[in-house]
Amino acid sequence: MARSLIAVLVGLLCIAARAPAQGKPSGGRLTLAAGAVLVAERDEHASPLRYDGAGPFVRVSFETRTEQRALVVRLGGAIGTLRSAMTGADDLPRQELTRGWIDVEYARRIVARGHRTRWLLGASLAERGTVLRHLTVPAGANIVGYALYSTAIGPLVAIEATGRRSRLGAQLAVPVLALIGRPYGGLYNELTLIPGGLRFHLATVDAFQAGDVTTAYAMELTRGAELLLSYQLVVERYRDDAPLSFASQAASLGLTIRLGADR
Amino acid sequence: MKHGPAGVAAVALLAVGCTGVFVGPDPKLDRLALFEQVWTDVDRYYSLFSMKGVAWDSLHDVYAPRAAQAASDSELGDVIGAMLLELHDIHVNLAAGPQFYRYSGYDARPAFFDPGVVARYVTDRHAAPNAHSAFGHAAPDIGYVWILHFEGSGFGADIDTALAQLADVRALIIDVRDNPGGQRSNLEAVASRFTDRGRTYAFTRVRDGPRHDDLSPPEPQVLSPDGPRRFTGPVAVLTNRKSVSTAEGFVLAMRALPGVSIVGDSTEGGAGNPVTRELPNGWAYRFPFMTWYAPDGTTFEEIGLTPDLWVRGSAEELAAGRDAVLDTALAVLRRSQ
Repeated sequence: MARSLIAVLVGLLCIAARAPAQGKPSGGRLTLAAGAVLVAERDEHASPLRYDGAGPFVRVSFETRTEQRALVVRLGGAIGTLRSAMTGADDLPRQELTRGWIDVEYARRIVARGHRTRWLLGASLAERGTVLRHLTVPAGANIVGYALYSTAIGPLVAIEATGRRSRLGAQLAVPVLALIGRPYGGLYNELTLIPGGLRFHLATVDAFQAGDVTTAYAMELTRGAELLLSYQLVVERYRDDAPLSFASQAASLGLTIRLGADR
Repeated sequence: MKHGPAGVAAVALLAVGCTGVFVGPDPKLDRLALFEQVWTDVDRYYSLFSMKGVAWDSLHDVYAPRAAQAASDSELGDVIGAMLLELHDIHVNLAAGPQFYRYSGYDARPAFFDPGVVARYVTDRHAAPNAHSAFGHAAPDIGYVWILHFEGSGFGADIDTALAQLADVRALIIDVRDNPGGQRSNLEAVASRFTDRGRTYAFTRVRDGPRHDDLSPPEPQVLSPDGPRRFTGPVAVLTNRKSVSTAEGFVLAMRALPGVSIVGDSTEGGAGNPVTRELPNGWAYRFPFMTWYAPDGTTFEEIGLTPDLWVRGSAEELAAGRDAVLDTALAVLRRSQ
Protein backbone atom coordinates (compact mmCIF):
# COMPACT_ATOMS: atom_id res chain seq x y z
CA MET A 1 0.00 0.00 0.00
CA ALA A 2 2.75 2.43 0.99
CA ARG A 3 4.67 1.67 -2.22
CA SER A 4 1.66 2.30 -4.43
CA LEU A 5 1.02 5.62 -2.72
CA ILE A 6 4.61 6.65 -3.21
CA ALA A 7 4.27 5.70 -6.89
CA VAL A 8 1.14 7.86 -7.20
CA LEU A 9 2.93 10.74 -5.57
CA VAL A 10 5.96 10.46 -7.81
CA GLY A 11 3.60 10.33 -10.79
CA LEU A 12 1.89 13.54 -9.75
CA LEU A 13 5.23 15.25 -9.35
CA CYS A 14 6.24 14.10 -12.83
CA ILE A 15 3.03 15.50 -14.34
CA ALA A 16 3.74 18.77 -12.60
CA ALA A 17 7.32 18.75 -13.85
CA ARG A 18 6.17 18.33 -17.47
CA ALA A 19 4.69 21.80 -17.49
CA PRO A 20 6.80 24.40 -19.33
CA ALA A 21 9.69 25.30 -17.09
CA GLN A 22 10.56 28.69 -18.42
CA GLY A 23 9.53 31.69 -16.38
CA LYS A 24 10.82 35.00 -15.28
CA PRO A 25 13.52 34.68 -12.67
CA SER A 26 12.20 35.59 -9.30
CA GLY A 27 13.52 36.74 -5.98
CA GLY A 28 11.69 35.77 -2.86
CA ARG A 29 8.98 36.96 -0.55
CA LEU A 30 9.35 36.86 3.18
CA THR A 31 6.16 37.01 5.20
CA LEU A 32 5.64 37.45 8.90
CA ALA A 33 2.08 36.71 9.94
CA ALA A 34 0.23 36.49 13.23
CA GLY A 35 -3.30 35.58 14.10
CA ALA A 36 -5.62 33.41 16.09
CA VAL A 37 -6.21 29.69 15.87
CA LEU A 38 -9.30 27.73 16.89
CA VAL A 39 -8.59 24.14 17.87
CA ALA A 40 -10.67 21.07 18.62
CA GLU A 41 -9.05 17.77 19.47
CA ARG A 42 -9.58 14.42 21.08
CA ASP A 43 -6.53 12.40 22.05
CA GLU A 44 -7.82 9.21 23.61
CA HIS A 45 -4.48 8.60 25.28
CA ALA A 46 -5.41 11.61 27.39
CA SER A 47 -9.19 11.58 27.52
CA PRO A 48 -12.28 10.37 25.66
CA LEU A 49 -13.57 13.95 25.77
CA ARG A 50 -13.29 16.58 23.08
CA TYR A 51 -11.24 19.62 24.02
CA ASP A 52 -11.81 22.96 22.31
CA GLY A 53 -10.05 26.26 22.61
CA ALA A 54 -8.17 29.06 20.96
CA GLY A 55 -4.85 30.78 21.06
CA PRO A 56 -2.40 32.93 19.17
CA PHE A 57 -0.01 31.79 16.50
CA VAL A 58 2.83 33.24 14.47
CA ARG A 59 4.16 32.14 11.13
CA VAL A 60 7.19 33.02 9.06
CA SER A 61 7.22 32.02 5.45
CA PHE A 62 9.51 32.34 2.49
CA GLU A 63 8.31 31.83 -1.04
CA THR A 64 9.72 32.15 -4.49
CA ARG A 65 7.44 32.25 -7.53
CA THR A 66 7.72 32.43 -11.27
CA GLU A 67 4.96 32.18 -13.83
CA GLN A 68 5.60 28.45 -13.91
CA ARG A 69 6.30 27.37 -10.38
CA ALA A 70 6.04 28.19 -6.71
CA LEU A 71 8.13 27.08 -3.77
CA VAL A 72 6.96 27.92 -0.27
CA VAL A 73 8.53 27.19 3.12
CA ARG A 74 6.57 28.02 6.26
CA LEU A 75 7.47 27.79 9.93
CA GLY A 76 4.83 28.36 12.54
CA GLY A 77 3.96 27.88 16.15
CA ALA A 78 0.79 28.12 18.18
CA ILE A 79 -0.21 27.87 21.80
CA GLY A 80 -3.67 27.61 23.27
CA THR A 81 -5.77 26.50 26.19
CA LEU A 82 -8.38 23.84 25.51
CA ARG A 83 -11.33 22.92 27.67
CA SER A 84 -13.86 20.10 27.71
CA ALA A 85 -17.47 19.75 28.76
CA MET A 86 -16.11 18.51 32.11
CA THR A 87 -14.04 21.63 32.81
CA GLY A 88 -15.26 23.21 36.01
CA ALA A 89 -15.06 26.54 37.77
CA ASP A 90 -11.50 25.72 38.83
CA ASP A 91 -10.62 25.53 35.12
CA LEU A 92 -9.81 21.81 35.44
CA PRO A 93 -9.46 19.59 33.59
CA ARG A 94 -7.91 21.51 30.74
CA GLN A 95 -5.21 21.06 28.15
CA GLU A 96 -2.44 23.43 27.25
CA LEU A 97 -1.59 23.08 23.59
CA THR A 98 1.78 23.70 22.00
CA ARG A 99 2.03 23.09 18.28
CA GLY A 100 4.77 23.75 15.80
CA TRP A 101 5.03 23.10 12.10
CA ILE A 102 7.23 23.33 9.06
CA ASP A 103 5.61 23.11 5.63
CA VAL A 104 7.52 22.84 2.38
CA GLU A 105 5.43 23.08 -0.79
CA TYR A 106 6.49 22.91 -4.38
CA ALA A 107 4.04 23.26 -7.27
CA ARG A 108 4.21 23.86 -11.01
CA ARG A 109 1.67 25.39 -13.34
CA ILE A 110 -0.46 22.85 -15.14
CA VAL A 111 -3.25 25.02 -16.57
CA ALA A 112 -3.41 28.73 -17.23
CA ARG A 113 -6.59 30.59 -18.18
CA GLY A 114 -5.53 33.80 -19.77
CA HIS A 115 -2.68 35.41 -17.99
CA ARG A 116 -4.50 36.06 -14.73
CA THR A 117 -5.50 32.65 -13.42
CA ARG A 118 -3.43 29.52 -13.15
CA TRP A 119 -3.72 26.05 -11.66
CA LEU A 120 -0.73 24.46 -10.00
CA LEU A 121 -0.01 20.88 -9.03
CA GLY A 122 2.76 19.72 -6.79
CA ALA A 123 3.63 18.17 -3.50
CA SER A 124 3.56 19.18 0.10
CA LEU A 125 5.81 18.05 2.92
CA ALA A 126 4.35 18.94 6.29
CA GLU A 127 6.17 18.35 9.55
CA ARG A 128 3.99 18.95 12.59
CA GLY A 129 4.37 18.40 16.29
CA THR A 130 1.61 18.75 18.88
CA VAL A 131 2.02 18.46 22.63
CA LEU A 132 -0.99 18.55 24.95
CA ARG A 133 -0.26 19.19 28.60
CA HIS A 134 -3.22 17.59 30.32
CA LEU A 135 -4.08 19.09 33.70
CA THR A 136 -6.56 17.08 35.68
CA VAL A 137 -8.56 17.16 38.86
CA PRO A 138 -7.36 17.35 41.58
CA ALA A 139 -5.11 20.32 40.99
CA GLY A 140 -1.52 19.32 41.54
CA ALA A 141 -2.08 15.75 40.42
CA ASN A 142 0.54 14.33 38.14
CA ILE A 143 0.58 16.29 34.91
CA VAL A 144 1.18 14.26 31.80
CA GLY A 145 1.98 15.63 28.36
CA TYR A 146 0.63 13.76 25.33
CA ALA A 147 2.04 14.17 21.86
CA LEU A 148 1.72 13.47 18.17
CA TYR A 149 4.47 14.12 15.66
CA SER A 150 3.99 13.71 11.93
CA THR A 151 5.96 14.31 8.79
CA ALA A 152 3.51 13.84 5.95
CA ILE A 153 3.87 14.03 2.21
CA GLY A 154 1.19 14.24 -0.41
CA PRO A 155 -0.14 16.01 -3.49
CA LEU A 156 -1.01 19.66 -3.54
CA VAL A 157 -3.36 21.47 -5.89
CA ALA A 158 -3.64 25.23 -5.97
CA ILE A 159 -5.35 27.98 -7.92
CA GLU A 160 -4.15 31.55 -8.10
CA ALA A 161 -5.73 34.61 -9.61
CA THR A 162 -3.61 37.69 -10.08
CA GLY A 163 -4.92 41.22 -10.33
CA ARG A 164 -3.11 44.46 -10.99
CA ARG A 165 -2.16 45.01 -7.37
CA SER A 166 -3.45 41.89 -5.66
CA ARG A 167 -3.40 38.12 -5.70
CA LEU A 168 -6.00 35.60 -4.51
CA GLY A 169 -5.12 31.96 -3.98
CA ALA A 170 -6.48 28.76 -2.58
CA GLN A 171 -4.88 25.38 -2.17
CA LEU A 172 -5.56 21.89 -0.91
CA ALA A 173 -2.92 19.48 0.33
CA VAL A 174 -3.76 15.89 1.23
CA PRO A 175 -1.01 13.73 2.72
CA VAL A 176 -0.86 10.14 1.56
CA LEU A 177 2.12 8.90 3.51
CA ALA A 178 3.33 9.96 6.94
CA LEU A 179 6.02 9.24 9.44
CA ILE A 180 4.17 9.23 12.74
CA GLY A 181 5.66 9.55 16.19
CA ARG A 182 3.43 8.96 19.17
CA PRO A 183 4.32 7.75 22.66
CA TYR A 184 2.46 4.69 23.91
CA GLY A 185 1.06 6.71 26.78
CA GLY A 186 2.40 10.14 27.58
CA LEU A 187 5.47 12.03 26.41
CA TYR A 188 6.39 13.49 29.76
CA ASN A 189 5.34 13.43 33.36
CA GLU A 190 5.86 16.58 35.41
CA LEU A 191 8.16 17.87 32.66
CA THR A 192 10.39 14.78 32.87
CA LEU A 193 10.50 12.86 29.61
CA ILE A 194 9.00 9.40 29.82
CA PRO A 195 11.34 6.80 28.33
CA GLY A 196 10.24 5.17 25.13
CA GLY A 197 9.95 8.37 23.16
CA LEU A 198 7.84 8.92 20.09
CA ARG A 199 8.00 5.41 18.55
CA PHE A 200 8.18 6.34 14.90
CA HIS A 201 6.49 4.34 12.19
CA LEU A 202 5.13 4.85 8.69
CA ALA A 203 1.41 5.35 8.22
CA THR A 204 -0.63 5.44 5.04
CA VAL A 205 -4.06 7.00 4.62
CA ASP A 206 -5.56 3.93 6.27
CA ALA A 207 -4.11 5.09 9.59
CA PHE A 208 -3.41 8.79 9.12
CA GLN A 209 -5.87 11.00 7.35
CA ALA A 210 -5.22 14.68 7.02
CA GLY A 211 -6.02 17.69 4.92
CA ASP A 212 -4.94 21.27 4.71
CA VAL A 213 -7.03 23.97 2.99
CA THR A 214 -5.59 27.45 2.71
CA THR A 215 -6.93 30.60 1.15
CA ALA A 216 -4.95 33.79 0.98
CA TYR A 217 -5.36 37.28 -0.36
CA ALA A 218 -2.32 39.47 -0.93
CA MET A 219 -2.65 43.19 -1.60
CA GLU A 220 0.25 45.33 -2.71
CA LEU A 221 0.98 48.14 -0.31
CA THR A 222 4.10 49.46 -1.95
CA ARG A 223 6.34 48.12 -4.65
CA GLY A 224 8.24 46.08 -2.07
CA ALA A 225 5.56 45.14 0.43
CA GLU A 226 2.21 43.32 0.54
CA LEU A 227 -0.48 42.87 3.11
CA LEU A 228 -1.47 39.21 3.41
CA LEU A 229 -4.80 37.98 4.73
CA SER A 230 -5.02 34.21 5.08
CA TYR A 231 -7.16 31.44 6.44
CA GLN A 232 -6.09 27.85 6.99
CA LEU A 233 -8.06 24.76 7.96
CA VAL A 234 -6.07 21.71 9.06
CA VAL A 235 -7.58 18.36 9.98
CA GLU A 236 -5.75 15.25 11.15
CA ARG A 237 -7.01 11.89 12.27
CA TYR A 238 -4.77 9.09 13.48
CA ARG A 239 -6.40 5.71 13.84
CA ASP A 240 -4.92 3.67 16.65
CA ASP A 241 -6.13 1.69 19.66
CA ALA A 242 -6.44 5.13 21.23
CA PRO A 243 -7.35 7.37 18.25
CA LEU A 244 -6.50 11.03 17.92
CA SER A 245 -8.46 13.67 16.02
CA PHE A 246 -7.31 17.22 15.58
CA ALA A 247 -8.76 20.18 13.69
CA SER A 248 -7.67 23.78 13.61
CA GLN A 249 -8.70 26.96 11.87
CA ALA A 250 -6.27 29.81 11.73
CA ALA A 251 -6.88 33.34 10.50
CA SER A 252 -3.96 35.67 10.16
CA LEU A 253 -2.76 39.00 8.96
CA GLY A 254 0.75 39.29 7.65
CA LEU A 255 3.24 41.58 6.03
CA THR A 256 5.18 40.37 3.01
CA ILE A 257 8.47 41.87 1.99
CA ARG A 258 9.59 41.30 -1.57
CA LEU A 259 13.23 40.41 -1.90
CA GLY A 260 15.64 40.56 -4.82
CA ALA A 261 14.26 40.30 -8.35
CA ASP A 262 10.72 39.98 -7.06
CA ARG A 263 10.68 43.65 -6.11
CA MET B 1 -10.09 40.64 -7.31
CA LYS B 2 -11.80 43.47 -5.45
CA HIS B 3 -13.69 40.81 -3.55
CA GLY B 4 -10.58 38.86 -2.51
CA PRO B 5 -10.72 39.69 1.20
CA ALA B 6 -14.43 38.93 1.22
CA GLY B 7 -13.70 35.58 -0.40
CA VAL B 8 -11.14 34.64 2.23
CA ALA B 9 -13.51 35.77 4.98
CA ALA B 10 -16.40 33.85 3.42
CA VAL B 11 -14.40 30.62 3.37
CA ALA B 12 -13.42 31.17 6.99
CA LEU B 13 -17.01 31.88 8.04
CA LEU B 14 -18.30 28.85 6.20
CA ALA B 15 -15.78 26.69 8.01
CA VAL B 16 -16.41 28.09 11.50
CA GLY B 17 -17.54 25.25 13.68
CA CYS B 18 -16.22 22.57 11.41
CA THR B 19 -13.31 21.82 13.74
CA GLY B 20 -15.78 20.55 16.29
CA VAL B 21 -17.72 18.69 13.62
CA PHE B 22 -14.56 16.95 12.44
CA VAL B 23 -13.58 15.85 15.94
CA GLY B 24 -17.15 14.98 16.82
CA PRO B 25 -19.15 15.31 20.02
CA ASP B 26 -18.32 13.59 23.29
CA PRO B 27 -19.38 9.97 23.20
CA LYS B 28 -22.65 9.12 24.91
CA LEU B 29 -21.76 5.92 26.68
CA ASP B 30 -24.20 3.62 28.38
CA ARG B 31 -23.26 2.06 31.69
CA LEU B 32 -21.61 -1.00 30.22
CA ALA B 33 -19.61 1.17 27.82
CA LEU B 34 -18.42 3.33 30.72
CA PHE B 35 -17.32 0.17 32.51
CA GLU B 36 -15.50 -1.01 29.39
CA GLN B 37 -13.75 2.34 29.06
CA VAL B 38 -12.30 2.02 32.57
CA TRP B 39 -11.43 -1.67 32.23
CA THR B 40 -9.71 -1.11 28.86
CA ASP B 41 -7.84 1.94 30.07
CA VAL B 42 -6.42 0.10 33.08
CA ASP B 43 -5.70 -2.93 30.89
CA ARG B 44 -3.66 -0.78 28.49
CA TYR B 45 -1.79 1.51 30.81
CA TYR B 46 -1.62 0.17 34.40
CA SER B 47 2.04 -0.42 35.27
CA LEU B 48 1.85 -2.81 38.24
CA PHE B 49 0.08 -5.87 36.85
CA SER B 50 3.25 -7.96 36.98
CA MET B 51 3.57 -7.24 40.71
CA LYS B 52 -0.07 -7.62 41.60
CA GLY B 53 -0.73 -11.03 40.15
CA VAL B 54 -4.28 -10.00 39.34
CA ALA B 55 -6.14 -11.83 36.57
CA TRP B 56 -7.53 -8.68 34.99
CA ASP B 57 -9.33 -10.55 32.20
CA SER B 58 -11.11 -12.67 34.76
CA LEU B 59 -12.15 -9.58 36.67
CA HIS B 60 -13.75 -8.34 33.46
CA ASP B 61 -15.76 -11.54 33.28
CA VAL B 62 -16.87 -11.08 36.87
CA TYR B 63 -17.72 -7.39 36.84
CA ALA B 64 -18.94 -6.68 33.27
CA PRO B 65 -22.24 -8.53 33.76
CA ARG B 66 -22.79 -6.60 36.98
CA ALA B 67 -22.11 -3.33 35.15
CA ALA B 68 -24.59 -4.31 32.46
CA GLN B 69 -27.20 -4.93 35.13
CA ALA B 70 -26.52 -1.74 37.10
CA ALA B 71 -29.84 0.05 37.52
CA SER B 72 -28.36 3.41 38.42
CA ASP B 73 -25.14 5.40 38.17
CA SER B 74 -24.64 4.77 41.85
CA GLU B 75 -24.73 1.02 41.28
CA LEU B 76 -22.35 1.35 38.35
CA GLY B 77 -19.95 3.28 40.61
CA ASP B 78 -20.13 0.42 43.11
CA VAL B 79 -19.26 -2.09 40.38
CA ILE B 80 -16.35 -0.15 38.86
CA GLY B 81 -15.10 0.86 42.30
CA ALA B 82 -15.14 -2.75 43.49
CA MET B 83 -13.24 -3.89 40.39
CA LEU B 84 -10.56 -1.23 40.83
CA LEU B 85 -10.16 -2.04 44.51
CA GLU B 86 -9.22 -5.60 43.54
CA LEU B 87 -5.84 -4.15 42.54
CA HIS B 88 -5.05 -3.41 46.22
CA ASP B 89 -3.31 -0.24 45.12
CA ILE B 90 -3.48 2.96 47.13
CA HIS B 91 -2.94 4.97 43.94
CA VAL B 92 -6.09 3.58 42.32
CA ASN B 93 -9.38 5.36 42.97
CA LEU B 94 -12.65 6.38 41.37
CA ALA B 95 -14.55 9.63 41.89
CA ALA B 96 -18.08 8.78 40.76
CA GLY B 97 -20.05 11.92 41.47
CA PRO B 98 -20.54 12.07 45.23
CA GLN B 99 -19.12 8.57 45.68
CA PHE B 100 -15.40 8.00 46.13
CA TYR B 101 -13.77 4.61 46.01
CA ARG B 102 -10.22 3.96 47.18
CA TYR B 103 -8.35 1.00 48.55
CA SER B 104 -8.43 1.19 52.32
CA GLY B 105 -6.76 -2.10 53.12
CA TYR B 106 -3.81 -0.37 54.76
CA ASP B 107 -5.81 2.13 56.78
CA ALA B 108 -5.81 -0.07 59.87
CA ARG B 109 -2.02 -0.34 59.96
CA PRO B 110 -0.68 1.21 63.15
CA ALA B 111 0.98 4.59 62.68
CA PHE B 112 1.63 6.18 66.03
CA PHE B 113 2.25 9.82 65.33
CA ASP B 114 0.84 12.83 67.12
CA PRO B 115 2.06 16.33 66.20
CA GLY B 116 0.84 17.47 69.61
CA VAL B 117 3.32 15.15 71.29
CA VAL B 118 6.10 16.31 68.96
CA ALA B 119 5.31 19.87 70.04
CA ARG B 120 6.45 18.92 73.55
CA TYR B 121 9.90 18.19 72.10
CA VAL B 122 9.98 21.06 69.62
CA THR B 123 8.81 24.07 71.60
CA ASP B 124 9.94 26.69 69.09
CA ARG B 125 8.16 25.29 66.05
CA HIS B 126 7.56 27.73 63.17
CA ALA B 127 5.68 27.24 59.93
CA ALA B 128 7.82 27.61 56.81
CA PRO B 129 6.79 30.41 54.39
CA ASN B 130 4.70 28.19 52.12
CA ALA B 131 3.29 26.21 55.05
CA HIS B 132 4.28 22.84 53.58
CA SER B 133 6.56 22.25 56.53
CA ALA B 134 7.35 23.43 60.05
CA PHE B 135 10.67 23.56 61.83
CA GLY B 136 12.30 24.16 65.20
CA HIS B 137 14.73 22.62 67.66
CA ALA B 138 14.27 19.12 69.06
CA ALA B 139 17.38 19.73 71.17
CA PRO B 140 19.74 22.71 71.40
CA ASP B 141 22.00 21.21 68.72
CA ILE B 142 19.44 19.13 66.80
CA GLY B 143 16.99 20.68 64.39
CA TYR B 144 13.59 19.30 63.48
CA VAL B 145 11.75 19.72 60.14
CA TRP B 146 8.27 18.30 59.74
CA ILE B 147 7.20 17.95 56.10
CA LEU B 148 3.40 17.62 56.07
CA HIS B 149 3.07 16.64 52.39
CA PHE B 150 4.72 17.11 49.00
CA GLU B 151 1.80 18.86 47.23
CA GLY B 152 2.08 22.33 45.72
CA SER B 153 5.08 24.52 45.14
CA GLY B 154 7.72 26.38 47.09
CA PHE B 155 9.37 23.40 48.78
CA GLY B 156 12.84 24.61 47.92
CA ALA B 157 12.15 27.98 49.53
CA ASP B 158 10.67 26.29 52.60
CA ILE B 159 13.64 24.02 53.23
CA ASP B 160 16.07 26.88 52.55
CA THR B 161 14.29 28.97 55.18
CA ALA B 162 14.36 26.09 57.66
CA LEU B 163 18.07 25.43 57.09
CA ALA B 164 18.87 29.13 57.43
CA GLN B 165 16.92 29.39 60.69
CA LEU B 166 18.52 26.19 61.99
CA ALA B 167 22.07 27.25 61.12
CA ASP B 168 23.09 26.60 64.75
CA VAL B 169 22.36 22.85 64.72
CA ARG B 170 24.84 20.09 63.95
CA ALA B 171 22.23 17.39 63.27
CA LEU B 172 18.76 17.33 61.80
CA ILE B 173 15.57 15.30 62.06
CA ILE B 174 13.23 15.30 59.06
CA ASP B 175 9.81 13.93 59.88
CA VAL B 176 7.71 12.49 57.04
CA ARG B 177 5.38 10.42 59.21
CA ASP B 178 1.76 10.57 58.01
CA ASN B 179 3.04 12.30 54.85
CA PRO B 180 0.60 11.41 52.02
CA GLY B 181 2.96 12.37 49.19
CA GLY B 182 2.60 14.76 46.26
CA GLN B 183 4.85 15.61 43.35
CA ARG B 184 8.26 14.13 42.65
CA SER B 185 9.81 17.53 41.92
CA ASN B 186 9.05 18.54 45.51
CA LEU B 187 10.82 15.59 47.10
CA GLU B 188 13.85 16.40 44.98
CA ALA B 189 13.64 20.09 45.90
CA VAL B 190 14.02 19.14 49.57
CA ALA B 191 16.50 16.28 49.25
CA SER B 192 18.73 18.28 46.88
CA ARG B 193 19.80 20.43 49.86
CA PHE B 194 21.47 17.40 51.45
CA THR B 195 23.55 15.96 48.61
CA ASP B 196 26.99 17.01 47.50
CA ARG B 197 26.80 15.45 44.03
CA GLY B 198 24.45 13.71 41.65
CA ARG B 199 23.27 10.38 43.05
CA THR B 200 20.91 7.79 41.59
CA TYR B 201 18.30 7.14 44.25
CA ALA B 202 15.64 5.13 42.39
CA PHE B 203 14.54 3.75 39.06
CA THR B 204 11.22 4.17 37.30
CA ARG B 205 9.56 2.05 34.65
CA VAL B 206 6.60 3.10 32.53
CA ARG B 207 3.96 0.89 30.98
CA ASP B 208 4.91 1.07 27.33
CA GLY B 209 2.99 -1.58 25.46
CA PRO B 210 -0.25 -3.53 25.32
CA ARG B 211 1.01 -6.57 27.26
CA HIS B 212 0.78 -6.31 31.02
CA ASP B 213 4.53 -6.83 31.38
CA ASP B 214 5.47 -4.28 28.72
CA LEU B 215 7.54 -1.88 30.79
CA SER B 216 10.19 0.59 29.69
CA PRO B 217 13.82 -0.07 30.67
CA PRO B 218 14.67 1.19 34.16
CA GLU B 219 15.19 4.94 34.10
CA PRO B 220 17.54 6.21 36.80
CA GLN B 221 16.20 9.00 39.01
CA VAL B 222 19.09 11.25 39.93
CA LEU B 223 19.22 13.63 42.85
CA SER B 224 21.40 16.68 42.15
CA PRO B 225 22.62 19.39 44.55
CA ASP B 226 20.56 22.57 44.61
CA GLY B 227 19.85 25.58 46.77
CA PRO B 228 21.98 28.23 48.47
CA ARG B 229 22.74 26.13 51.54
CA ARG B 230 23.59 22.47 51.92
CA PHE B 231 23.28 20.58 55.18
CA THR B 232 26.16 18.14 55.65
CA GLY B 233 25.62 16.99 59.24
CA PRO B 234 23.96 13.76 60.35
CA VAL B 235 20.29 13.40 59.49
CA ALA B 236 17.53 11.12 60.74
CA VAL B 237 14.40 10.70 58.60
CA LEU B 238 11.33 9.58 60.56
CA THR B 239 8.84 7.28 58.85
CA ASN B 240 5.71 5.32 59.67
CA ARG B 241 3.11 3.19 57.92
CA LYS B 242 1.42 6.31 56.59
CA SER B 243 4.51 7.71 54.87
CA VAL B 244 3.43 7.00 51.33
CA SER B 245 4.00 7.63 47.64
CA THR B 246 6.23 10.69 47.12
CA ALA B 247 7.15 10.52 50.81
CA GLU B 248 8.58 7.09 50.01
CA GLY B 249 10.45 8.62 47.08
CA PHE B 250 11.87 11.11 49.56
CA VAL B 251 12.99 8.26 51.81
CA LEU B 252 14.67 6.60 48.82
CA ALA B 253 16.44 9.86 47.99
CA MET B 254 17.60 10.48 51.54
CA ARG B 255 18.78 6.98 52.18
CA ALA B 256 21.03 7.22 49.13
CA LEU B 257 23.01 9.87 51.03
CA PRO B 258 25.80 9.25 53.53
CA GLY B 259 25.10 10.16 57.15
CA VAL B 260 21.33 9.63 56.86
CA SER B 261 19.46 7.14 59.05
CA ILE B 262 15.86 6.12 58.45
CA VAL B 263 14.13 5.68 61.81
CA GLY B 264 10.61 4.49 62.52
CA ASP B 265 8.27 1.95 60.98
CA SER B 266 8.20 0.70 57.39
CA THR B 267 6.55 3.04 54.94
CA GLU B 268 3.13 2.27 53.46
CA GLY B 269 4.15 0.78 50.11
CA GLY B 270 2.72 2.85 47.28
CA ALA B 271 5.22 2.60 44.42
CA GLY B 272 2.99 3.82 41.60
CA ASN B 273 2.93 7.18 39.90
CA PRO B 274 -0.70 7.80 39.00
CA VAL B 275 -2.42 9.50 36.12
CA THR B 276 -5.98 10.82 36.29
CA ARG B 277 -8.43 9.85 33.56
CA GLU B 278 -11.86 11.18 32.69
CA LEU B 279 -15.13 9.61 31.65
CA PRO B 280 -17.72 11.29 29.43
CA ASN B 281 -20.25 11.27 32.30
CA GLY B 282 -18.02 13.50 34.42
CA TRP B 283 -16.43 10.79 36.58
CA ALA B 284 -12.69 10.58 37.06
CA TYR B 285 -10.42 7.72 38.04
CA ARG B 286 -6.76 7.32 38.77
CA PHE B 287 -4.20 4.56 38.44
CA PRO B 288 -0.41 4.29 38.09
CA PHE B 289 1.18 4.24 34.66
CA MET B 290 4.70 4.42 36.12
CA THR B 291 6.30 2.44 38.95
CA TRP B 292 9.16 3.35 41.25
CA TYR B 293 11.84 0.86 42.22
CA ALA B 294 14.59 0.96 44.82
CA PRO B 295 18.13 1.35 43.43
CA ASP B 296 18.68 -2.41 43.69
CA GLY B 297 15.68 -2.97 41.42
CA THR B 298 13.36 -4.26 44.13
CA THR B 299 9.83 -3.08 44.55
CA PHE B 300 8.22 -1.69 47.69
CA GLU B 301 4.62 -1.79 46.45
CA GLU B 302 2.36 -3.08 49.25
CA ILE B 303 5.48 -3.78 51.35
CA GLY B 304 6.96 -0.41 52.15
CA LEU B 305 10.57 0.67 52.67
CA THR B 306 12.28 -0.84 55.67
CA PRO B 307 13.93 1.66 58.04
CA ASP B 308 17.50 1.38 59.30
CA LEU B 309 16.17 1.41 62.86
CA TRP B 310 12.74 -0.08 63.30
CA VAL B 311 10.63 1.66 65.94
CA ARG B 312 6.86 1.61 65.87
CA GLY B 313 5.87 3.34 69.10
CA SER B 314 2.56 2.76 70.77
CA ALA B 315 -0.66 4.47 71.71
CA GLU B 316 0.31 4.17 75.38
CA GLU B 317 3.59 5.99 74.85
CA LEU B 318 1.86 8.77 72.93
CA ALA B 319 -0.74 9.06 75.68
CA ALA B 320 2.13 9.47 78.12
CA GLY B 321 3.56 12.26 75.97
CA ARG B 322 6.43 10.21 74.60
CA ASP B 323 7.30 9.77 70.93
CA ALA B 324 9.38 6.59 70.73
CA VAL B 325 10.46 7.22 67.13
CA LEU B 326 11.62 10.74 67.90
CA ASP B 327 13.37 9.53 71.07
CA THR B 328 15.27 6.94 69.05
CA ALA B 329 16.26 9.48 66.40
CA LEU B 330 17.54 11.86 69.08
CA ALA B 331 19.58 9.05 70.63
CA VAL B 332 21.04 8.11 67.24
CA LEU B 333 21.99 11.68 66.42
CA ARG B 334 23.52 12.28 69.86
CA ARG B 335 25.69 9.21 69.37
CA SER B 336 26.76 10.52 65.98
CA GLN B 337 28.87 13.32 67.50
